[in-house]
Amino acid sequence: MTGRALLTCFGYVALLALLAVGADRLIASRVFQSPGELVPAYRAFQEPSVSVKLHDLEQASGTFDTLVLGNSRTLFGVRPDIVDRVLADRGIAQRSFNLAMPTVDVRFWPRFMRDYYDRPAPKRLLLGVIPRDLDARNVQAVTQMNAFFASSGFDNRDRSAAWRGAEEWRSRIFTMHGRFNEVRRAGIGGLLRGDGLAPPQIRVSERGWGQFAPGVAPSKRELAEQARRLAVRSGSLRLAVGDEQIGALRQLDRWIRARGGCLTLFTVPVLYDREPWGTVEVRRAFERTMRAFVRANPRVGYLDLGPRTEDEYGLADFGDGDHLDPSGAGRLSRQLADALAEDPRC
Amino acid sequence: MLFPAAVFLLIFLPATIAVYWTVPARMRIAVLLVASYAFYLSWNPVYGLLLAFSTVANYAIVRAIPDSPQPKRLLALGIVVNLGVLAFFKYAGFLSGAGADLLGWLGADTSGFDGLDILLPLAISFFTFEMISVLVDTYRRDVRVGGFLVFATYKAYFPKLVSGPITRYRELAPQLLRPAPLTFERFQSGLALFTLGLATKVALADNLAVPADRAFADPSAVSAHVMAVGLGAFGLQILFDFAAYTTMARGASRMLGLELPLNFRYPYGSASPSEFWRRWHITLSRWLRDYLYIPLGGNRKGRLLTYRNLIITMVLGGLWHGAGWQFAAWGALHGMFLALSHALRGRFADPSPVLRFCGALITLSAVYFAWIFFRADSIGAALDAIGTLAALPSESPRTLLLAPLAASALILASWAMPWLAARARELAARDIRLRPVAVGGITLACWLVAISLSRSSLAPFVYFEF
Repeated sequence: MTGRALLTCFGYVALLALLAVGADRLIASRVFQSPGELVPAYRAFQEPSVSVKLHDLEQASGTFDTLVLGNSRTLFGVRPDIVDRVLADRGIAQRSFNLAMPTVDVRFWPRFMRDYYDRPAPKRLLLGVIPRDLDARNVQAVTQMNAFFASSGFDNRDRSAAWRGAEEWRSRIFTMHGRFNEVRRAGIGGLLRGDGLAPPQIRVSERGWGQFAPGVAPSKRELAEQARRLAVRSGSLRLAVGDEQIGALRQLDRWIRARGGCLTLFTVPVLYDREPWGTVEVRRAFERTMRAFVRANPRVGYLDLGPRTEDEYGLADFGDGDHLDPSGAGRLSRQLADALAEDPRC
Repeated sequence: MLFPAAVFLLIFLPATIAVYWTVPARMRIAVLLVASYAFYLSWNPVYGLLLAFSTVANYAIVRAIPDSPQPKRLLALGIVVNLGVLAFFKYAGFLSGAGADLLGWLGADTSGFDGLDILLPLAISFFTFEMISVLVDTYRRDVRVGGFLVFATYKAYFPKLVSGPITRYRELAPQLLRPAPLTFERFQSGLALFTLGLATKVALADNLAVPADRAFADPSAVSAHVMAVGLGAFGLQILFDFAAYTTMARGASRMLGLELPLNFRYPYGSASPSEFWRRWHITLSRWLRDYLYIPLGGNRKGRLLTYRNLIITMVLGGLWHGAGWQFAAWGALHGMFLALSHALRGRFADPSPVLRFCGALITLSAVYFAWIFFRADSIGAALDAIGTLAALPSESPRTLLLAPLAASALILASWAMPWLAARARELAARDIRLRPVAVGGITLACWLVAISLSRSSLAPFVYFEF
């Protein structure tokens, strides 16, 4: 009697589950342009590309010798596959991952490495730096940083494998699960019309390197016009170097040295920089500050690739004013690998 | 392991139900015990030892009480053990901090001391109250505890372990020994209750938490409008969150052939504070009444002592929720509301609907005012929140006008829901074939709501912290 009732009950649950899955797929196909493109909701961070990247990092097996850190310029600019290939050609075997995240500044990384990163420590941290990274008035980075440490992805970092497996399984069965924040962006009108939410603007490729999604980057003509206006410009803003920012660089250096590795800072070439920190005066002050920092901290490496190599880059190498496109990223990655091969610190 | 977590929904609960109904009937209770410990240990294996120790100690005492020549001493020992464990884990930090404040006030240097920081074992407040109830009931000879397996399962039973309902031994133990047989109707109804609770939690409670958290993160830094919206949202969040947990606990239990008591009956439609506490967290209210208020003297010793007893009961009830002065203040406020309600009881014995509505409006306002203390991180933060709200008339007159309308809508909805539920039951009884399809449809709808409206994070239940 119980056996038959049990079968009936489980049959009922299976039927409901089937109907729920069908309805979920139907809704998802209306809400999203590519409903299958997702990471499990429990790993959601402040920005879709961060979720994808940290999901990929978690899925990757083995260790990484070099972790590339920084903001979106580094995210778009460094291709780990090319860096590794060039170094391998020079007889240096290594494996790298691009962990750079949009909008964060140097203050983000010490806490990220301490509280989130749970893999074996790399031999080298390669941190891309830009003028706003050092400025005490960079509030946008604080917002991003707080959003990261308040996200469900960060909250759930220490969950058991069974817990994570089950959550991942649920997200694969029910596409809509945990995506209410995204759905809200669609608006009722959009949902009724079935417009479909566009996929994220940043597509994360292999080992964390990012590219613009098709149609997001401005045209080359627009780029040329903007570059004419903005590439070399003056302004009244002065770089206000923050103690917290300099302290964060020192903390990161201590963290990696305590684990037997080293920290190398580097800069990325830009076509033009629309930000208030993109003026000639601020860039010069930034260069002076960086040189003073590495003089005071001789164990920290500094590869000033930006100004040194900017002339070699043309319009075709940029996705927008301060983000490289795949060809530019390839060029920078080769230059970076060459510089690393000659850097005796690590 | 939270109820909305996939590991619970997709693995733990289905596996437990399947094994429970597959094994021979005499082994079902053992399945529940193992599942309950697995559920508790998944949170913190070390504190599983505390649960086991508390079970063994309480069992030894309740077994000894009936035949002891001095049962009162054993009862006292049992209460001291339970309250001692609770005091150590829950109140040591609070008391040491308060002691340091006092010493500092007297001139001692306590600058390096921040109070003790002890991790609160999950569910300790709930299982302490249940153990005290079984000790007292045994002493009063209202129950006679049977085998250890039943006792241990009663204590650890996973659906109600973490956030109640606070059950009596005599309510649950007989069912553990003889659960209702598995039938499709009972299972279907249990699943419907469970999914209804799940949808309420993820779609309503978790989303209402956003404005509430925003307002109370720094009450002095937000506008009066944000504070008012946040407070309104919190009152609903805590109701939906806690009611959702109980509903899921009742649904899961029904699928296992057990019935847990009701914990909420549309409390925001209450016409007086006394009625509110008969409809809000019902199992806590009856515990406080039976094991605290009545032993203190209840209403048997004159009006003033009745008021005193009400206030003491509610202050202790407040401190049960959390170790902090803000919880004591919340309890004291409710104690005073109850005393006032008691004093006015004779004058409004048979109120008209209009008077009832006015009573509900005043009660709801009082309850919401007290929520400020419950939600704020400290007394200072609660006073900041009140200060912010005081600016509402000048800062946001529209919000001030909308508040009574929203309260009225809430009261009318609370009144309409039981009526609608009764009509739905009548309708279902009239056409017996319609019932499974209707229940299945509601379950599916709740399931889809839970999926589609869930946020990315898995927010813990508010009452998990207690």
